[in-house]
Amino acid sequence: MQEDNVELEHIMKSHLQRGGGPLDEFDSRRVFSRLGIPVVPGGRADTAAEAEGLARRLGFPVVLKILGSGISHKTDVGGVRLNICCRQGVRSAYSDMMSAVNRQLPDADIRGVSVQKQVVGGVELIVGGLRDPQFGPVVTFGLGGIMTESLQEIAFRLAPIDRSDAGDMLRETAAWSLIRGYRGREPLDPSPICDVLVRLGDAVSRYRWLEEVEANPFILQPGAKAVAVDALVVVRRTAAE
Amino acid sequence: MAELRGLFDPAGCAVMGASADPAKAGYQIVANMLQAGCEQVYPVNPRGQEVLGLKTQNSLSQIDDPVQMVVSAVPAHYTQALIDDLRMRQRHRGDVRFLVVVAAGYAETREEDGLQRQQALLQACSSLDIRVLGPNCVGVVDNRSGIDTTFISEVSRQEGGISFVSQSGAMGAWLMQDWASRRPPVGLSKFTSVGNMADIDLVEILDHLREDDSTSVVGMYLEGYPQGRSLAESLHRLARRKPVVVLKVGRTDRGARAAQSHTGSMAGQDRIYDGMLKQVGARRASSVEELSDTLQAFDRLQLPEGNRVFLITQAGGPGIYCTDELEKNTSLCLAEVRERTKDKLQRALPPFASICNPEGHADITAAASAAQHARALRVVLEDEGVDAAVLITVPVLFMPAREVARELIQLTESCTAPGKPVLAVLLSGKPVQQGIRMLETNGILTFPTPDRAVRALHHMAEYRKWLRKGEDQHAGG
Repeated sequence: MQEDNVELEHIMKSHLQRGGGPLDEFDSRRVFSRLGIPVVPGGRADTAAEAEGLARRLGFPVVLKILGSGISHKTDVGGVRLNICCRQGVRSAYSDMMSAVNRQLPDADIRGVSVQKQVVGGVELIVGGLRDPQFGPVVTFGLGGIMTESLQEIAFRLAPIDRSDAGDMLRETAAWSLIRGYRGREPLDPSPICDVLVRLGDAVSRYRWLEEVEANPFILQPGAKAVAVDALVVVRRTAAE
Repeated sequence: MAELRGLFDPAGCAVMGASADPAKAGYQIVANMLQAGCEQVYPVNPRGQEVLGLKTQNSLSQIDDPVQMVVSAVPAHYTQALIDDLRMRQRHRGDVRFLVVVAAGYAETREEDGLQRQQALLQACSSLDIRVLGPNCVGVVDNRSGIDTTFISEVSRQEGGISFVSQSGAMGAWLMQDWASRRPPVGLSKFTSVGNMADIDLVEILDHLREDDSTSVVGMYLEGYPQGRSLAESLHRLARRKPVVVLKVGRTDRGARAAQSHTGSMAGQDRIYDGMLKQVGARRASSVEELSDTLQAFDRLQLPEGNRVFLITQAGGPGIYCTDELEKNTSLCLAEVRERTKDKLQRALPPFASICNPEGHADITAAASAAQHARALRVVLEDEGVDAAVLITVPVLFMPAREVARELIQLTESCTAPGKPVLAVLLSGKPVQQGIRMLETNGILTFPTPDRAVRALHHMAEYRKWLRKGEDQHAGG
């Protein structure tokens, strides 16, 4: 744990020295892991061959995502490929992605791709933490994916929170009816989300340069399994520094 | 914590800008002070007319008696004159501790003149050791000490446990006038309008109300508060001691913008407020009616031990309407009573009564007499599986509301069942007015509709749950 903290501070501080702002997905994932938030298995590749090797080790299907700064909506610029089922698929996705992103964002600073195991099934949720100008550190929870923005249904709590607060957050959003089981599906064990919400609350309370942390989607699966599929971390220098 | 007692119970109160013209705030304030029972009220007006039979003075310094509070109704552009007068008084007597500034035209305008005036006033008062409420507020009411610095045309003088604090004078006036118009009027402890919060602010008032023995429940109208954390902490401390019901506006983006331009305070994200209020144990009301109902329920009913409700209805439709509301929009549930209770109900009620179908619901039918209402209620309250009861009746020709009221009053007086809240709903209009008044004057709270009763009960049950959670955590270390 102590080592995790040291490494965490190192990641965030080195990013702050470069001016802060959003970390790329690879670094965001590292921060998540150090915070004890499970992330989907994956790694970073700088060439098509590396990506292929990674995919083989992870097991198909996989997802490819572009890495780099100045790319905020990866999907819109062709920077995300889902459901890649074979080695050839990885190579062609890699080259298509590089040319598409280069064409649309010629100034983007591309730093390879992230290769992740594709998560199949489960309920898509959003979990996060942020720093509000009036309330300070805050934890968020809601339905994930495209539902987040369309339903505008996010539960907030001031951080830090305890497990019972986390349980209340779950129950007050529409996500609860999905977690509880619908159309004959087995109810899911929500305890991994409660753990993560508590950890996120501790993290935003503790690290004052942590401006925002968000996993969307954060997927809850049967058997109390849960992983962050997309990780976002934003750091900012505080006024005092 | 700074001592605010003198704000609610000042020894002597001067009214600057007192007027003999009933259309002026300076008249109404003096009238309200007298009506509230304040005996040491001193009108001040340089023109020296008599106001409501009281001799006016030219300046504060001419008042011989102690003056702990000054209420200023003079327009904002006389701020310097106000400061000079205060300075003179403090130099000679040094007894003024609180200043209530009614006038608008200060920082809320967000214009240079207004900002400067507020700044000058604050600086002067701070150096004179005077705390300021407002500007741009209607001040305070305290029914125990007998003071009313507002110019609200009617305020309930009935002493009760509800204290209300408002970021809007008009929202305060809305409730004060509504409560005053009830028969009997709604019981009030204190009302505070905080206005621009230049000095004394919401949090300080909330902290004061927490320690105030005559306040049993706190209501608040909230637009926004810049130090969200300190508001949350203050509400949390308060909720541990007594219930808090909040009407927070600015739920929508446009509403939030309107709130921001009104008090000039930043509205913030409504959903964060929503989560925060839940976290700190404050109950959020979604309408003025709900706020008012819930405050009265907390003040006058026993807090239920749990969320199990038994519904006794003398009419089918209103009972179903109530059941839907209870199941859909609240965390309450219909109580499951013991077989013995069901048997007792069977014996106590008319033959066609539908008992516990569904569970927790008894349709005692229109054939039920007034005495049968009361008997059914007693049986239900004695069951350990019931935390609260809702009683709905639509009195008919052969059973006037008065009779139901009489039976219920008798039941309440003789009831030995442990304190469980009963929410009575008499439907409706003129035929039940007399019955409702009888109940209310005998201390039995009534609700105008079943859904309003159920909303109020929901808030009480949720508050109980929150309190218990805190106790468990405490006990568990």
